[in-house]
Amino acid sequence: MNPVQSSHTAKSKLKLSQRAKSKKKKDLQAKDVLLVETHSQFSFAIARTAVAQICRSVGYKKSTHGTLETLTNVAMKYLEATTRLAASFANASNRTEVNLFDLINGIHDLCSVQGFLGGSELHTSNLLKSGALKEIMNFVKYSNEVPFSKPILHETDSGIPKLEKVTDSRSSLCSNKTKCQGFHIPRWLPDFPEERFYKNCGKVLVKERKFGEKLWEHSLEAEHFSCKLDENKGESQIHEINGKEEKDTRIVLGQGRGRVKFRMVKEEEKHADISVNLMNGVCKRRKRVSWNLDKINNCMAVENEDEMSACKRKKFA
Amino acid sequence: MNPNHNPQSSDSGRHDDDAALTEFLASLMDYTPTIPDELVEHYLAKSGFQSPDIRLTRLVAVATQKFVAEVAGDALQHCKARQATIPKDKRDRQQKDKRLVLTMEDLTKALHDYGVNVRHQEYFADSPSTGMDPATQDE
Repeated sequence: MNPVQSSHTAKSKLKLSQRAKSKKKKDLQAKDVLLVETHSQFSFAIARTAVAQICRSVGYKKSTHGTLETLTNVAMKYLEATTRLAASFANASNRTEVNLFDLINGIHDLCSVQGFLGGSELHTSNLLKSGALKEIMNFVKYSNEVPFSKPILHETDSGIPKLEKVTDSRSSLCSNKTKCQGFHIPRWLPDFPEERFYKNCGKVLVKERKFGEKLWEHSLEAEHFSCKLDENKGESQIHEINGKEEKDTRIVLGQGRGRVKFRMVKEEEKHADISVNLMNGVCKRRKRVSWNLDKINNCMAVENEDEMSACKRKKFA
Repeated sequence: MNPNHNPQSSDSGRHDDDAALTEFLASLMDYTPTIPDELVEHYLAKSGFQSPDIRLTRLVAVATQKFVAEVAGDALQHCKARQATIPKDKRDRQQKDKRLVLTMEDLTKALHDYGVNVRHQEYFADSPSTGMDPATQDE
């Protein structure tokens, strides 16, 4: 069965004449205790109570089922839209903290649908002279104060989720160090990873290589921290992180290095096809090997041989 | 930033505006909005609004409260206008105050002026022919 039809059958059998009688009317006093399970439900329940109080202050006594929820949804979306606009204005000005002007601009954007006094002169007048702001000031001045009726529970012992700022939960996890360091860092960003993941604590993550080889840059880093390693000689633990081994990369370079010798060896040609026998090393004279298409490989090999023998003589001289 | 033709008068006007605004922001700390600060701060954090000033939080709460009050007020006007069209009957007049109910119809009309389009289902039926006359059903 179609799920849409099944839901229709569940809600069906209401005739138009009976609709008015069977309509639920909710009293706007919100006497019932509503148990919620999730964060969003909790915040929505509080918002609905506040909106019901505002409707009551305007003059309404009751509301139909679903209407109050709709108005609450719209009100919260309005609040979110205002704050998002203000945050975007702040970010557009290379700031993370929102100020009064950003908020006024956000309010202007939302009030522009209905319009407000002085809306056409925004580009000439001071933002603080805003008509929308003045309307809010008049509202605060002349309207009756209606505080929230119920206390908001902050404890989670009773099972009701805590309505807390996202920043609060972050600050509980943040160490004091991060707080002191990160005044320029927005609080809503996630924490930094642990120090051992991005700071060299005297040990270098080295992937196992054949025959005990190590990359040149790792050996340089080990030298740099060799003084710190002297202090931590007692800590000789090997940790496995992400499949790599942490090793004590202290390397003592030999003072006397062996002499480096180059030797250019001519490879014998195995194939009869066209191939160029280029020299692997660089001659002192830096003579370029040219490939003459008319000649066959044997002639080419003879030419190179002369140059190579000349190079050998000069090298070992 | 703005062209000032009379610098002296504009400066004094600006000072007055600043003073009025400072006084208003100070009064916000005494005024308790209906929407609690914790709820507003929850939505501020959700939207990325970061400000240590609690006066801005109160300003957002007051702006939202004003919006809701305006919408509810417009819906109430629609409700009263609809009741005025009903033929005058003593019973209806006596029950007028009791019938100030926030309905979806009034709310839809009020929100339409603010650019919010709300659509809701009038009713649900189990089949397309429910509620129709038997004669038309047979056809």
